[in-house]
Amino acid sequence: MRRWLPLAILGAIVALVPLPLGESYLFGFVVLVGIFAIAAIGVDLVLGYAGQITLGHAGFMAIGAYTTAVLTVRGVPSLAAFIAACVLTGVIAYLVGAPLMGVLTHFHVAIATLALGVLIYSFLLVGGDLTGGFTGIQGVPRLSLGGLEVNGDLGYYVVVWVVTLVLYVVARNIGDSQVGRILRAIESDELAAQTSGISVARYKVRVFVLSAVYASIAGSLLAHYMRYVSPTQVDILTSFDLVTMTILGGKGTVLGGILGAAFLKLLPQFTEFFKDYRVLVNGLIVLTVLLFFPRGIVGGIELLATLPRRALSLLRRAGAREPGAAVAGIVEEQE
Amino acid sequence: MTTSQIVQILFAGLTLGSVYAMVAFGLSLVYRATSILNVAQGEFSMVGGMTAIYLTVGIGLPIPVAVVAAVLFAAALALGMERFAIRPAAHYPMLIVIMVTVAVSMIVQGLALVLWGRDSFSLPAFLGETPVSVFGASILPQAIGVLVICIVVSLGFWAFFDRTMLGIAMRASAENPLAASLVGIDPRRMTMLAFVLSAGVGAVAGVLIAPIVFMSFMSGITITVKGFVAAVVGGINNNLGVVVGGLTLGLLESLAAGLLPSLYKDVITLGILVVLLCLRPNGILGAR
Repeated sequence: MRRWLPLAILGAIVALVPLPLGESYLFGFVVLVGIFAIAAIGVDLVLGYAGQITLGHAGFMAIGAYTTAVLTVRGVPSLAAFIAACVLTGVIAYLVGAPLMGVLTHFHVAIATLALGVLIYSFLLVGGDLTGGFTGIQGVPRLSLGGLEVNGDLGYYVVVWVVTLVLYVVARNIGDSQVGRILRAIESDELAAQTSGISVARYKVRVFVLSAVYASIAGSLLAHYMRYVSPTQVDILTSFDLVTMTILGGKGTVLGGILGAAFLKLLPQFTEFFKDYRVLVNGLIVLTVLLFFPRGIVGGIELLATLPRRALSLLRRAGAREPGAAVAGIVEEQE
Repeated sequence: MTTSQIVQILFAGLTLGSVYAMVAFGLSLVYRATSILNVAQGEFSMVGGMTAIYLTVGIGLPIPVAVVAAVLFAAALALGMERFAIRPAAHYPMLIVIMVTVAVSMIVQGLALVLWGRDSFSLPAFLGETPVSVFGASILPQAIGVLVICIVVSLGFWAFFDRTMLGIAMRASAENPLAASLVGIDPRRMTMLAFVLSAGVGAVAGVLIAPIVFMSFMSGITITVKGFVAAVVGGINNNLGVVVGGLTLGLLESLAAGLLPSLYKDVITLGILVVLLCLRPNGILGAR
């Protein structure tokens, strides 16, 4: 039951948000939260589960977004373009990930993914007519599923958040499965995992490919929702944003990706201060959370949720000093 | 291609390569003293370059003053980084420590963005403006100056790690901090010193590269990646390797810039990195 509680609460919030916000300009940002949450969950799969630093996930978003844009502008149906984007991203992630995840240290992976992000970004700039250089591609058609065209913010809201929640459940189930336990073993001690007979590299590559596909899905949705793609949507700062969302929300929690995305995408809408301070604030958030709150927002919520129970057990221990209370405690325990 | 063109490309490549080698030295220094590979290394160069540009072009201070100020500013940042980010994370797993250096990298970029905005700037060539003719190619004295500084720095590095007590103590403290502290070396002091020195070298590299490429708050990322490519090509523990790696990268890049549109330059470097990491993660000269 407790397993489904976060999903139930999340689903309820997602269902209720359109009521107060449906007409507001903020609603569009809630759609973006969903899109970035998908990519952030992808980052969490690599960072939180497999314990590998990825600084280039915006590059995978770029592959998703640009494949969708290039194909749909030429008349390919959304769904076919979407699948092509996922496959292309998966293949590229495998080709890069397979050698990277083999023998390399955290730093190697961090720099290589950083370089990959810059590389993909540079390709967008030199891609000529295919990628449209600095301006990108305008006039991406609306998302259409089986002849049904998705229209307006509400339509995108429903589609994006259904996809987000499904991918959330998928990622969480992976986390709770045998694969998830293997990944956690790898994260806590690679050598020990290796000696227990786990093929560390194979699992790391698989999760890397899966997480890249998550980013690609986010990219495809972004292209359809914004109706254009441009290099600035998927630059290195976006990769840093994704890492910030994951760490802030709580790495290794999956839910953290969604909460981090919500926080980072919505907060700037309420304060002008954020604009030029975005990078600085991101850095400070990541540093503070890493050093002092390793489980991020999710950790904070868990603490709050267990607070009543802790207070109760504290009271009970204090009460045990009263005559008769100890007996009551034992009776309670036997029940 | 004419001889003069080849000489031109050669010199441009060696200049660029010298700077990359110095960035790689900074990475290598921290790595050898602490086993940490610092993702924020390039940010010291960015800060060095941007400070020097701001103080000379913006405020009009003489170059030597600006260079000293730039190095001091970068060193101060490194000091703060070591004290408030690296030291508190000392007992965390390496994953967290590297993430901490990523966070510092973001913070320094953010500071630069707030201080200097989004625009790109360049520094006038400060080691002389009149070109010297070499085999028909006109070479700026700046290029020769950069080469000389790189040679001095690499000799300094070799002397420091192989010939001074402090350098050897630093290596010892990276190898085994506990054993080092038993023979009277303070690992925390070594860590702090390593960060400050690497920031100093990085800032000098940043000042030297500022007349060659445009600098903005984002430049640190590419500088880190290139310094790392140089270190990986040569093997990070190998002084000679770092220089060879840096020069190779610089030459390849200037060759690419001479033959292809300028936007392809980074594509080639980063392509090399990805291929290289896949095939020889410990460097061409390093052990497999």
